[in-house]
Amino acid sequence: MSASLTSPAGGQDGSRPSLSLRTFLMRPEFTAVVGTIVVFAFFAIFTGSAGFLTVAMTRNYLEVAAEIGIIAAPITLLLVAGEFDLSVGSMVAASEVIISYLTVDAGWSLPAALGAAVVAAAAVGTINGYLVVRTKLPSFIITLAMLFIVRGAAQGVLRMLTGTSTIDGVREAVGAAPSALLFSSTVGPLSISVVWWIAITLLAAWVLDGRVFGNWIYATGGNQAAAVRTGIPVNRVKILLYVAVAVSTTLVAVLDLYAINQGSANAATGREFEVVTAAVIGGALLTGGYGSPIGTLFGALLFGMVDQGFFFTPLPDVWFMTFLGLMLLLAVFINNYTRMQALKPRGRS
Amino acid sequence: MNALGAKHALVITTPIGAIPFVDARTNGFRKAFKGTSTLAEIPVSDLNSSNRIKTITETQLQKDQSIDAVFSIGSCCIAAMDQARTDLGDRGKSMHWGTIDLTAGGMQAIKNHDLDFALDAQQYAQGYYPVVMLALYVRQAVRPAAASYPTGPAVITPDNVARVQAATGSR
Repeated sequence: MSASLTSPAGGQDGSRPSLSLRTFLMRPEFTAVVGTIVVFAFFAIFTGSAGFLTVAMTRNYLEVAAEIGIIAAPITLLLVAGEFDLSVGSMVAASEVIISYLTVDAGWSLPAALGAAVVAAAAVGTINGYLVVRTKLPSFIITLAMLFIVRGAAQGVLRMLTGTSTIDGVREAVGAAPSALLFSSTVGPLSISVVWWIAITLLAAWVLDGRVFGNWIYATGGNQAAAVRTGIPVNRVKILLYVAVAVSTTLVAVLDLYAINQGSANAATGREFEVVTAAVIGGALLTGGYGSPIGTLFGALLFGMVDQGFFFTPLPDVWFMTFLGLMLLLAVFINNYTRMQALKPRGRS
Repeated sequence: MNALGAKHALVITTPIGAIPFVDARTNGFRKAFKGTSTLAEIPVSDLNSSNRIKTITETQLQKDQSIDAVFSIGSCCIAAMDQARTDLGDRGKSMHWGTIDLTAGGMQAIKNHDLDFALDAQQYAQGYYPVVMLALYVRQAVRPAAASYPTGPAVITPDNVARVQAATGSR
């Protein structure tokens, strides 16, 4: 309707709207942004009266989204660089075990325990990265192995130490330490994890599109052979990204510890797939060279909304996973279609 | 829950059919509870994420304001339930909260009167001991002398939680 109205007036520069439309469609964020709006509208219209729009429920789905998005932002950079990391969920659990054991049972302060967890996570990230670049084996396999190793170690070590799989009472053990405010505060009605989520997303976006290091990431995932020949330290880029991903899991761990006051060796099971899903909905290609942390933010937001909004629908809860799967499939189809449409006229093969 | 005067209970459980022993607990509760039961069915993939158990629980409580009691089907969901009670503020305080199984956090919650009761599944009394009894009966035709077998409190309430804590330590 609006197109037929504007085209006569547009006259000779009629190509402009289609160009800008294509530019818009080509943005990796496109599907995630539109999808988020559609999903939000869907739940607002059909479940708004049941309480989906209340402040408490908004806080809840933003918190779920933040715990995905904080890891998904560095994961997006890693995907752009052409590598996977499936060990993130188990690293969240390991960090929770380390922090909760050291604070509750060993009496450490929160900064010390957090520091220990960051060191441990960074070590795992370094091993991940080093093994991937040295062996040149698919990172899918290497980090899948790491998933099992770390998850098993988290469960095994905690059982050796305490005979349980969870540790309660981190809040009471740490008390009102100033450092705790970084992870337990609220911002208005929302939890502070949302602030971390947005800050880390912006940082990732700035690194990817505003820094030389970002160009290195694109080059590493886009065409590694060419990147090596132009002197880009491809291996260092990858290892650094693995470390960044690992450290982000520690942040999620401490936020989760505070959100629920319990550390669990089984925490974040399956999180590795959720973060990749968020990145892919956000436009990242699993083959590398393409992706957007901003898109991933919307991907995580969409995931969080679906994850919580479904339970407002009158559908029986048992259908949740089927519903989630269909939503994701739809998002990826639309993503793929719009990208193909957008890229076609330029004849890129 | 009946004794506490609850009319409408939310049962935090897994989708019916997902984990059989949980189904048995859920159905047992629904059969014995005289009021209405609504289920918060936590997807098995979220069962280890206390934060999501909490948010799904709060969603169900938001949807139906007539719910006046929450019952967790196992130790999985005690931390989440406790946080939901805190988040709900005054409504949370006016409701009844109970669980099967006991955790360190659960004991603390009973002590603080945040949790009304916990049903302690006694692995020794319910699992190991009957096997010993049956084995003795089959092999030596020995039967327990007493008709009843006294064990620790199976229903943990603020009145007897100190005894349990003294006996088990903090976990």
